[in-house]
Amino acid sequence: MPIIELTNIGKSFLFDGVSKTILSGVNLRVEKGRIIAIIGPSGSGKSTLLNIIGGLDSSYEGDSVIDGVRLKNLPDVDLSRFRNEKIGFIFQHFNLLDHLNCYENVFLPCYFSSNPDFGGIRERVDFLFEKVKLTHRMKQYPPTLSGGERQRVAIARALLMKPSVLLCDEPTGDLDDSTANAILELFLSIRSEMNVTFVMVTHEERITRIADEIYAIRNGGLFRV
Amino acid sequence: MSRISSLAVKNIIRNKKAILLSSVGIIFGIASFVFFVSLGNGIKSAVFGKILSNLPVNVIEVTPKSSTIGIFSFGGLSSTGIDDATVDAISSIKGVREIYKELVLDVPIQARGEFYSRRIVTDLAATGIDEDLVREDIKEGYKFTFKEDGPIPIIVSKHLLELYNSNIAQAMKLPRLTADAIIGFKFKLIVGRSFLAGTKDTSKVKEYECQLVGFSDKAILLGITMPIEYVRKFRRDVEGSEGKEKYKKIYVIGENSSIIPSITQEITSMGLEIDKTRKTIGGVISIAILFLGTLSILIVALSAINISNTFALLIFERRRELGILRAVGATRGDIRKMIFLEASIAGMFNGLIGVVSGILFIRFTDYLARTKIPDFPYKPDTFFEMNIYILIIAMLFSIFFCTLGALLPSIKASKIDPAKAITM
Repeated sequence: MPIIELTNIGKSFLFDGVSKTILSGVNLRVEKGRIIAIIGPSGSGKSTLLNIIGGLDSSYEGDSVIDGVRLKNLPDVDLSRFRNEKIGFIFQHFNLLDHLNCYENVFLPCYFSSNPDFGGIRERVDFLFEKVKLTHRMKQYPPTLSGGERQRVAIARALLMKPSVLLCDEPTGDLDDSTANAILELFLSIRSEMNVTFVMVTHEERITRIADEIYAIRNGGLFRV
Repeated sequence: MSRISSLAVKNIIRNKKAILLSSVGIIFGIASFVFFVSLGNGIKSAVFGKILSNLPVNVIEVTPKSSTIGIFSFGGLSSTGIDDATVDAISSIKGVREIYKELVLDVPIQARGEFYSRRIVTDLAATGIDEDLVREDIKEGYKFTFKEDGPIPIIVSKHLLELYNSNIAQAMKLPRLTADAIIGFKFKLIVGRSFLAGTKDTSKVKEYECQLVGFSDKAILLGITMPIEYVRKFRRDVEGSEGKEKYKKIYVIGENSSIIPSITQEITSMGLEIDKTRKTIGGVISIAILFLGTLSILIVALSAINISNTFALLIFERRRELGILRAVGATRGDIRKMIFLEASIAGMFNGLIGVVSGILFIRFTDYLARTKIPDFPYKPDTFFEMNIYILIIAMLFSIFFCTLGALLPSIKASKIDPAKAITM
């Protein structure tokens, strides 16, 4: 059973009162543990597709089933729980909260979990900090960290709730080459250890090098490259 | 909820300056509320505790129509009164257990005596009262009964002692007195003569000895009160006959407190007046408290608009952050809860600062009032009376209005589109 199954996804936006189709007839099936790269120029609809898979955008045509959860028409509470438990987001600009220290940033999804049992969560946070090699930075605040370190904190946060899918939007876009390569190495290591599925949107070639499948968005359609 | 509240606390700390600035009105309003309500309570307590003592709940004071002026009764100066027929009619009202009468001594009298080596001669007003009515006010070891021989037992008003201590003693350089110190004091009472009325018939002028045996709220304010039989005797001695008795006031005792309203209604329908001084003064003070309290709450309520603006601005600035929270699993309800909690915590702190400011202002004002305002009758030890309920209500008002202020911004925050917000 595929972990991601998109069927005939369509999405339009209104620009100056005129409806513009961003995605049209998009179909995608991704098996668990795969790394998928979606490429395309800016404004082509890559991030929109990512938001649909992640349940951040719920106004679209078609059907999406992620890890067995049909997202269409899901109430806000269930959609939020889905994001909390099954999806990890990694953004180009890291999206850490500057007023929380790194430990609190990683812990953030726990604040909104509907699961009252948090036995072992602190051990998991410690484990993730070890995994991203930032144990010594736990109590520091994001503005004091380098770009690579911030992205590693964001990766730890995305992995906290043991998600089945990691959605990465230009994850190395703000990083220098060596840091970007280190992050990609980390992704490979996470995939092999945790069997997490990655969907990455990018226009960087280096990401496509670690991808199992590459797709391109052109004129609203999704094509296997 | 507790996890979200820890986030809310962190947000408050982060935005403390903006929230504090927008909270000045709430803090001021809460401080005013605590100040005015405590002041009102203090005044009410001083008026009722010192000036107007409380009668038992089953006692009604009945006076002829319009024979009271303000707080104090000057019925002794009035020529109207309640006659025996009216007293009989009242005693036949269902539920009336007993009636005590107060009679004005309407013959000239004078007091003469030595008081701290000063010879004092003065005209006096006097009333007679049923002995049983003031039994509890008589000092132990003394009696308030009519006797043909021996000193006449008299009682005076507690207010008179207060008046003496706060004004007369100071003006005449006499020592201040306690009630116990002056009980037993004796002086001469000359019946049939006064400076004002002169002497009609010198053969009828007689001298008696009086002795102070107690202080009572039922005693006449400026004068002396004696057992009612003495009044009858003096009227007989001076006027030749007792004449038709007209009472300045009667005290109607009901069988219980629940019967009082119906007795009151019947007495009022007879054209008599129930002493409403306590009720009226209590009402005036309550209205003043209500007015000032409402004004304070209005300040707090208007300040909620400031809070609302601040939260709206903060939420606008935090759109990306709220988008991130939504991305990691926060529901719309979680976002609303978080903003509400932030507002409640801000309200709690504002309330706390307001209450503490109010208390400090009360302490300062009370200190000034006690030390800088000259003594006057019934000057209270403190002008304010605070209680825990005032403080709790003030805190609740602050939390309520801060939360109210955050209502619209929190709804707006929960509707932020996370997909758009995280890309900002």
